[in-house]
Amino acid sequence: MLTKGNWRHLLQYYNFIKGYKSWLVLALILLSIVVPVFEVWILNATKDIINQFNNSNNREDMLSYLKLLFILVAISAVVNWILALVIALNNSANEEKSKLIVLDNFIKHKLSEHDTFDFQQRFNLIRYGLNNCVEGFFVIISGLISSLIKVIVLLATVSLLNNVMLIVLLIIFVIPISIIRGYINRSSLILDWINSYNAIKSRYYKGLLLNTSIVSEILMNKSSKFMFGKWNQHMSEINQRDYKAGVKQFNLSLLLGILLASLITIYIANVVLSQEIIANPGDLFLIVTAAVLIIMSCENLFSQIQMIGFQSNQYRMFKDYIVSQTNERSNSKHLTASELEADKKDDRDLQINNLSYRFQNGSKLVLDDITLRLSSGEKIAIVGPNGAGKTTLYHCMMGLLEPTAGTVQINGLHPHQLSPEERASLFSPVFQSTHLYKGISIMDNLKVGREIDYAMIDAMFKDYDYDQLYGGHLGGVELSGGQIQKLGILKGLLGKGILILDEPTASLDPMAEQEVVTMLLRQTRDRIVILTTHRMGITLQFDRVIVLNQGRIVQDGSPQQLLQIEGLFKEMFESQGQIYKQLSEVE
Amino acid sequence: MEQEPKRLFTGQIRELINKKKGLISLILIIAIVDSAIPVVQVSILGYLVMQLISGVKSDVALFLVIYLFTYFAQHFSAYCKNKAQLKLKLDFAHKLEEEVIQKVAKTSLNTRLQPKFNDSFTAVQNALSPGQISNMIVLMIESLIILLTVIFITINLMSVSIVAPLIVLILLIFVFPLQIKANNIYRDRVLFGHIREQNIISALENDIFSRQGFIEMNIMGYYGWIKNIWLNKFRAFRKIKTKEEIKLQSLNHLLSTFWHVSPVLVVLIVMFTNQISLSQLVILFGSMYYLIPRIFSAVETFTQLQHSLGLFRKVIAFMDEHTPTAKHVLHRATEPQFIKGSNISFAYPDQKNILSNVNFKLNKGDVVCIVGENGSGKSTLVKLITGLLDPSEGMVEFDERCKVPQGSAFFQNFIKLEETIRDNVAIGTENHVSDEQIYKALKAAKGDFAIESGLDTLLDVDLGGINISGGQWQRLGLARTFIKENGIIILDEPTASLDPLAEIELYTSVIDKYSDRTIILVSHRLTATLLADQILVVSEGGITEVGTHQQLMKQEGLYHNFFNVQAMPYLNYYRDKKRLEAN
Repeated sequence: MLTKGNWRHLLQYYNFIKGYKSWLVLALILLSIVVPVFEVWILNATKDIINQFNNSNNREDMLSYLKLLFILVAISAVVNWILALVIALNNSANEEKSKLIVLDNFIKHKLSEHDTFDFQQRFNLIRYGLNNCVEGFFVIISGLISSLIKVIVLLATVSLLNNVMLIVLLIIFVIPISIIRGYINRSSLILDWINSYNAIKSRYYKGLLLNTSIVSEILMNKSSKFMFGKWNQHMSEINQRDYKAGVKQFNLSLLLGILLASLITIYIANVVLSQEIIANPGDLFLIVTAAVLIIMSCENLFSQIQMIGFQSNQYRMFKDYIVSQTNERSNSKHLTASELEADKKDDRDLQINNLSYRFQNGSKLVLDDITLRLSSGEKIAIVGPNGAGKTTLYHCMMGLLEPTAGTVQINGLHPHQLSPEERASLFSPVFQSTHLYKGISIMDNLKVGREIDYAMIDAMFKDYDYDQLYGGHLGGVELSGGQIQKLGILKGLLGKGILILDEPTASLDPMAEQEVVTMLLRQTRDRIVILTTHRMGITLQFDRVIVLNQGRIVQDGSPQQLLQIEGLFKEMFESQGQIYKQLSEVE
Repeated sequence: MEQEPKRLFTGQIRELINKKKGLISLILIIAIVDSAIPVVQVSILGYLVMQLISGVKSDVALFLVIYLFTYFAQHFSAYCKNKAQLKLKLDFAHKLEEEVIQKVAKTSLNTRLQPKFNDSFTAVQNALSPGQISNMIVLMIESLIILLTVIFITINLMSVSIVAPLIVLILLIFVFPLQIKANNIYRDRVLFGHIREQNIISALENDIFSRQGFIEMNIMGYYGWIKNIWLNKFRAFRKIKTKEEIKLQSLNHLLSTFWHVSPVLVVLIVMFTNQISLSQLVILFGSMYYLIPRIFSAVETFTQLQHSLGLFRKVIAFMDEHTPTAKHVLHRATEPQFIKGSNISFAYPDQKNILSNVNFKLNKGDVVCIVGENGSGKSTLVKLITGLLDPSEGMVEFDERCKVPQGSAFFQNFIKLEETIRDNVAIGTENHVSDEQIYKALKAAKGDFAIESGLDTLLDVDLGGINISGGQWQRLGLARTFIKENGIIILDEPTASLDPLAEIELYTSVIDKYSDRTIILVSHRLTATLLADQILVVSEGGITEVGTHQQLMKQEGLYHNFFNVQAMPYLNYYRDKKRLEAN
């Protein structure tokens, strides 16, 4: 539906996508005026031919008229062709623009505290929606102009014939009925497809069923019946609703169609039965064709308006989504240059003071009064039971989450107030699962736009072809899980500042694990390294261990010290150690 | 084409025809009415003109009534057609899609194939867009309508002039190849996968628009850089795409020019050869304007049909290629006394062997631990043992009484179902499961938090459910494995994200509760071998060492190295402690 609000959104949206190639737009508008004029011209020429034929029946005259018609049709075809090319060029330019808009907005997303499966799918649907929306903007506008001009020109042509009955019929009945028909021809079901409960759930189950990495589990646990049941249930509800909407639309459409047909026939009867028109069958032809064309143009006109409403809805949804998901960096106060200089003294220094964090809808503190100070070159391991708050602590350190209370400072800067580019010089992360981009080379994946030290790459993987494209199905290279993880660690090492690792060795075999840890410590002499792990054995190679439990630091000290005293660290270490002891004693 | 997928398609069509006989015959009747309408209309117009010119108006009223009736019939037939199509869609939409997904879900796919799989599935999605089978039926009926119309109109044309249909035929011979070419360009653009740049762009975009990508960009600050890379690649692709688009548009307009111009051309030619009256002229023009677009849409419908069938064939070919048949899994009923594999090799089609010449024997009640280097083929071995994959060479034998290792599995990448806790635990059970059983499984998996918050707790955060940690999810996944009363238990890295205390708790609970079950454990944590009756060491595509912990330690092979590396810090600690105590 087209409402005032929609127009407003559309205008905002126009501002949003400014920077069009203006000659394309100009050509589009111009052509959308020329094309309908040509069509009506052809119609008129045909009328003349028929009249001529009726009056003179002169073969020579006829031929010259037909030649004229032939030329007109040819020219109109060329004009139409140019229009189509302009639209194609326009679409291709706008696709880039709209994708850039989506990209620029994506980076402003807020990190959601939970990992929802539908996050990416829903975002994708919205971004494709916006894509279509941008592509269509000027095309729709030009379609609108085109239809409008056609109606006006046709009405003018018909009124030249001085047929009052026709004009009255057109204005009072035909045009309003066509408008309604045009309106109901487009339904906005697609919007529901993005956000309705059933749509989300059916997408969810389909996504699970088609994920090759979990197919084995589905098979072994025989859960496919359950999943199909759920998928079918949601899907059939969607279908049921689509069917109802469709039937409603067709019923109305039939009713109006029959009404229109009756009107036209009554009109033709009137024309035919009145005497004066019989002399000119060409006029009859013109009137009948014009009536049909006017109906079509009116339907078209109003479905274009409907489209505008639809697109503005798409845009609004995109905007709402972005706004609801966007981090407000309103409190970001950048430090002045002198302050920055003053803080530089604490080079590579991490200070966490009384840090607490609570999830937006949570009641419990995930992090509770954490105070920690690390200086240059320190290597620490963070251990603790599941759910102790390790990941949240990382996210706070890296500025992805804003602390509920307390501060995190690196070199005197607050990470959550910095831009991503500024953060990059403060720390480099290594995640449990490494993110590599398909479609670019391995080297680019390691560099991610930074200046790097090539010697370090050679130290880690010798004789490896880094210029290969990543992604087997793109004709590039496939990597195994272990390889990917090693590349992830290398990617972290190549960065600057504090190295923050989140269980980097969880999927590595024992040898690879040892190799990676040794190299990690060797390559990072004067950098701070923070690592979380569940493998207590590794922690002995670190200077300092911090034990986190229920959001608090319960122990802090060198691993050797902590093993001397009773506490969580010793308990965890021994619970793992006793198995190895037991095993080695069986020998 | 393999038998089964083919049957899948023909079976669908047969079912549709059997179930919806009434509907389909209705559509057939509509087809005949629909095709006759334009002919009737054109003839009436011609007749009307004749009557008007000669000034006889006696029959005009009757003809007007007939004319009105044709309009009604037109609208009504369109209505019936649309509604029948909707009904077909409602009943058959997703039927085929479901069958194919079910088939895919039964295949054991290599995770590394996922990108390729996704690509092919884009094609599959197109082939299986909602109600594709019903669409195909409608397409066939439509082409019938068009054909009938073309025949009727041609007869009508011949009544005016024999020359006209001949000219049309000659013109069309020149235009058909163009039309097919245009359709092919369109198909290539829609099908994708034909342009490498397109694949690269979509792969890159998927990686950019992901949660992990977002986090990295935000921390590492390389957004500007990746945006530029994307932009460059996208522009390269855009150039190609625009070229194709121009080609397509030009061809299409050439064709549409043809069908606008050709009626005039035909009338011109006919006028040169014949003397024709005005009413004949009307019939000629009218028929031509109906005929040419109909012929074009006939070509279009046929190519669409061909296109759908082509896509469908692609789906079937893909399924054939990537469906290592997994016969056993589907019909075994009890736990076997032994599973024996001799000289087994496995490779995915057209790829090199993942495992070669592997031998193993598992007895009922064994706990088998599989260890090995990253990427050495451990997961494939598990799939072979459990019958999820059939070996390409050699065979896996079971004792005769039993046809199946029925079982349950916990894989690293388990399903975190956004439903209730109950659904998450009872997901694979066929019969109704009592709350007691669920509690028991949860207790075995140390999932006490789930019992506390209640079985009906929703885990879908978007719908107001609770948010649980990775470790807690893992326990639900394990409970899912423990809920079945019998069968093999597969645990693939069950402790990877568990803390040390939870790890030991899990081992104890597994030993306590499932001492009589066959358990297959895959782990990088050698603590798992404590439970093992047998350890299989997988290295470079083969089983290099088999035995108990003591035996393997004596062999001083890979296992020995693994154990020493991992155990060293702990053993040192105990040695130092002992020394201290001695002092």
